Amino acid sequence: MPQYQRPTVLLVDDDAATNYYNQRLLQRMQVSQEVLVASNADDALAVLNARCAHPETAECPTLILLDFNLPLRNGFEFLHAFTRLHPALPQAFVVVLLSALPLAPDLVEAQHLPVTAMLTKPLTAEAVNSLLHNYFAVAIP
Amino acid sequence: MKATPPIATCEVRFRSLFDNTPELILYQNEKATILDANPAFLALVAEPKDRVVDHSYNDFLPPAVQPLFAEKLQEAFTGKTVRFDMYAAQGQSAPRHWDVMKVPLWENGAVVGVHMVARDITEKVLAQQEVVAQNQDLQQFTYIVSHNLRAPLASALGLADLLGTEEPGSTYFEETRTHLLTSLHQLDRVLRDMNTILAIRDQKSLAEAEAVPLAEVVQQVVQNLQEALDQCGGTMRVAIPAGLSVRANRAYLYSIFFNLLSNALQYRADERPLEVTVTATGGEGQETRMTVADNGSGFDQEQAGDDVFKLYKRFHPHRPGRGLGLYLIKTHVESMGGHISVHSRVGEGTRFTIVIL
Repeated sequence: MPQYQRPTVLLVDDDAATNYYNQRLLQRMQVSQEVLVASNADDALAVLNARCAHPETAECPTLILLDFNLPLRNGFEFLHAFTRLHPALPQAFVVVLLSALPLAPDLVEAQHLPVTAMLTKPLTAEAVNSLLHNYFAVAIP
Repeated sequence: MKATPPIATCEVRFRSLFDNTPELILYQNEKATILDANPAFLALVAEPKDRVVDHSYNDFLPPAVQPLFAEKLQEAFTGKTVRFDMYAAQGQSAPRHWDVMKVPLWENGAVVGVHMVARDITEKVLAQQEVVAQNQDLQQFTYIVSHNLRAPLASALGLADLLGTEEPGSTYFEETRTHLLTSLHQLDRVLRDMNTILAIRDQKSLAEAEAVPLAEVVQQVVQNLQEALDQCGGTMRVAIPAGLSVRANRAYLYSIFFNLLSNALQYRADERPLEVTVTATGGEGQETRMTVADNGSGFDQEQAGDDVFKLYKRFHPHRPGRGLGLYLIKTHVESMGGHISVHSRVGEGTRFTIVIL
């Protein structure tokens, strides 16, 4: 599903320091016109509901960097809620699951959720570049 | 050459074993009819011998395990000694774990009956289950701790890296540095939490139980929270019988009520003045049942599931808190051999119940 533009990004993490770091990293790499931040699953769902009636429009964040260990609803529960609300939509998104320590791949696969990639924190410029290259057909500088 | 003891002596020896062993011994025919039962079995099912002998063993077994016994009896009648574990009530007894052996009796080359010997292994099984549960607890604890250590560390690593690329003195530089410090403080806090938790766990066996006057401890907690309580216009009602004392560790008891009442303050509903009620019942030789009930914001119990008392789990994301309090409370309660449960409804309030024997 190559998408030929720099995507709007949604960061979902409850930790302010992590959000600041990720936001600043993406900003300096000029990955996107817009980086949105949600500190929990409900806020993130609200953002997607408000902006993604048509995922192909620029205002819809098609790159989601999702912290696994969220309060109340974890990353899986967020994705379950998301796919329930929009059964057809998740294919249009690149969902990257971020976690403090590597997650067991089979644990994630067993959930049958639209997880595109899994990364261990902290996010790096190299990892972001390869995401852009692989899923958004953006050339690596 | 030694002389074989006379039959009579053997009979006395085996009769003594049959009569005095705590294991259940039955002698059955192929149709599962009980032909003989020892006193241990009669005592367990609380029936006289004439209401046991010539009855089917099935009369004393719950339907769920009858097919298993039929199968094992058949197997023993083919000449094999069979052994199996099962969990079942017998007669009117409470369900127990049994290690069951069925031993065929041969006469003239044929199996004429089967002896069953059943040993009560309930305590052993329960102890084993506890070890398994504790192991799982520890594993989960390690998992949670490593994730909660790595999270601020990962953040700090990223921020330190970022700091090296920002212009010193710029707003970005200062903001990055501030976040870096926050992450390091978080890391420090997790390690301090570990210290607190390990200290409680270490003292588990040392938990000095004394008769602690409950009302006094709760009053002390209420006094220490009075200022915060007045500030939010809340009230606390304490209904604890004057003479009621609990066999417990005083410091733990204080910590439990301090944490529960602090939580009630912290997670009160903005729409109404806070009301908290602390009650206790019990007395000499009875279990002590304590409740702390508030009319606060409550939480979604279905969504929270088993996580309520787990380390670093939080249910009020928009209010400060670290997810340590309820975990510590549970650790304290359990180290005194007690049990804690919770009932909560969003917008109505939360009630904690603690039972200590």
